[in-house]
Amino acid sequence: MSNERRTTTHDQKLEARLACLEELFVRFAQTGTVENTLGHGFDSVTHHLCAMNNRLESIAAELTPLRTLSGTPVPLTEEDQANLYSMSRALARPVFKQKSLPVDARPVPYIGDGKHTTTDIYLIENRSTAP
Amino acid sequence: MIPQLVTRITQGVPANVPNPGDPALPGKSPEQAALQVLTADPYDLMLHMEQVWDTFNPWAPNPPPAGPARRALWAGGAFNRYAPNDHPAWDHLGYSYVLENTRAVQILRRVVREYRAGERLGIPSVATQRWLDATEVLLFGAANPIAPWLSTSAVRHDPEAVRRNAYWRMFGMDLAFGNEDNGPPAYERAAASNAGFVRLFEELLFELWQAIANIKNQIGPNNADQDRIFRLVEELRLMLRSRRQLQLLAREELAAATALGWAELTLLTDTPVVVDLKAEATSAANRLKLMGDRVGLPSHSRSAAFFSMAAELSIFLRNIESSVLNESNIALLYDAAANPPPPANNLAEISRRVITEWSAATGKDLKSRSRPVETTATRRRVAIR
Repeated sequence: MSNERRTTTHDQKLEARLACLEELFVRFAQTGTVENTLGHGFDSVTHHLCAMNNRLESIAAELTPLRTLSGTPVPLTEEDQANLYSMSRALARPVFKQKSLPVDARPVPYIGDGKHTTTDIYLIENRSTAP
Repeated sequence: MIPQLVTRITQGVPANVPNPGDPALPGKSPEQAALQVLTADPYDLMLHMEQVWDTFNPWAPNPPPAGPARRALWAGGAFNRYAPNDHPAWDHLGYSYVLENTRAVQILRRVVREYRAGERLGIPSVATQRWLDATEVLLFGAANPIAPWLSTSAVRHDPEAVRRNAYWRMFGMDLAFGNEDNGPPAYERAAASNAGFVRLFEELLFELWQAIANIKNQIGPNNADQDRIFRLVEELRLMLRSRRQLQLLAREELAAATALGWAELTLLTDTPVVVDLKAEATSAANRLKLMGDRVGLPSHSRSAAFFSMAAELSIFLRNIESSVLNESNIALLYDAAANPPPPANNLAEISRRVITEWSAATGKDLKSRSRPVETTATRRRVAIR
């Protein structure tokens, strides 16, 4: 009698464990399905993106002739081009890099104070205070 | 003429130019070149002016203006070897007009008067005293051995009145202010003037803005009208050339460009007179404002826009007036990528600058308009019965 009761209790424990294992197995199976679904979903999105990218590239290639409509140098005759460059050179102006000019100022004595330097009239360039 | 001379000095001159055996002149920094010009003997500057005028040869193929005596004189000048190779080597009258609107000349007149009359502004340095010598000659008609290039005489003795007359004839516009005492300006208003210039010019700027705004537009509605731009350019060219027949106004233009070029160079950096007047600043417009404050004459409130567009407006008008622009290459005016590479000016970038600064200076919105300007239609011959 006691042996029968022990066997029944043991079977119940085994059944509980089997049920637990079964539940775990089902869960694993379900998780695999979700992963599969996600994987398939991403694969599908990637596929669509690739297709869209290819389509955009083909559109860009088809529009290339339109882009070249602007930005192409206009045809100029040799004479017109020469005139254009000549006017540009004729009106070229300086670009200053510094804010002030390099003035070389020297003290000027009063009349009668020390020797007064005479001017060399032939050194025209030296009239400027530029170094 | 003045900025261009500074540029030629920075570039230097190769050996054997203009005469065999001439040594090479090395180029200088822009600052050194500017100082050389600002402290030069005014007589040297005048001789160079004569040289620039003669090498331009305004009445070609007729004989050039200068005789042998005058040529012999400039051969001994300090700037003789910096003669230009490309002509005309001075700015368009439009450059002088916008710069004069800053009131720079009238402010410099007061500066000269104050320095010559007393010591209220302080003691001018040696470099400033040289600048005063040249300014009195170049801008205010001080006696000098060669006067004709100033375009003044006993018949028309006031240089400002001569310039106002030229502005009126070329652009149908007066300056934004009266004389120095704010009275009405006295000058001769010629009957023949380009009174329709401003409307036509602003219409062109409007159409150019439309073209520039649509330059990348390949699919939407495009308001750019290339044919209309060309028609407006053609109209402007005909209008400006009608005042230029047989090189009329060329000498006045050179004199004006020299005077205003001198004023601009004076204000472009902290030059000796700017330093002496304690008017150091970061821009020409601010320097002029401070100088005006020192002598009690306010500069134009929109001077910054005038200074910013002066050089570009000169190039813009020169090209419009020339025969370079035609139906096949009119895109040069609005398509930056269509322009040839440097050193040629990029006319599209110049157009954009003129549009921006003209709008700022006049306060007009060039991106909208009430109605289009009518260009002159070609008259058709009709048989009369």
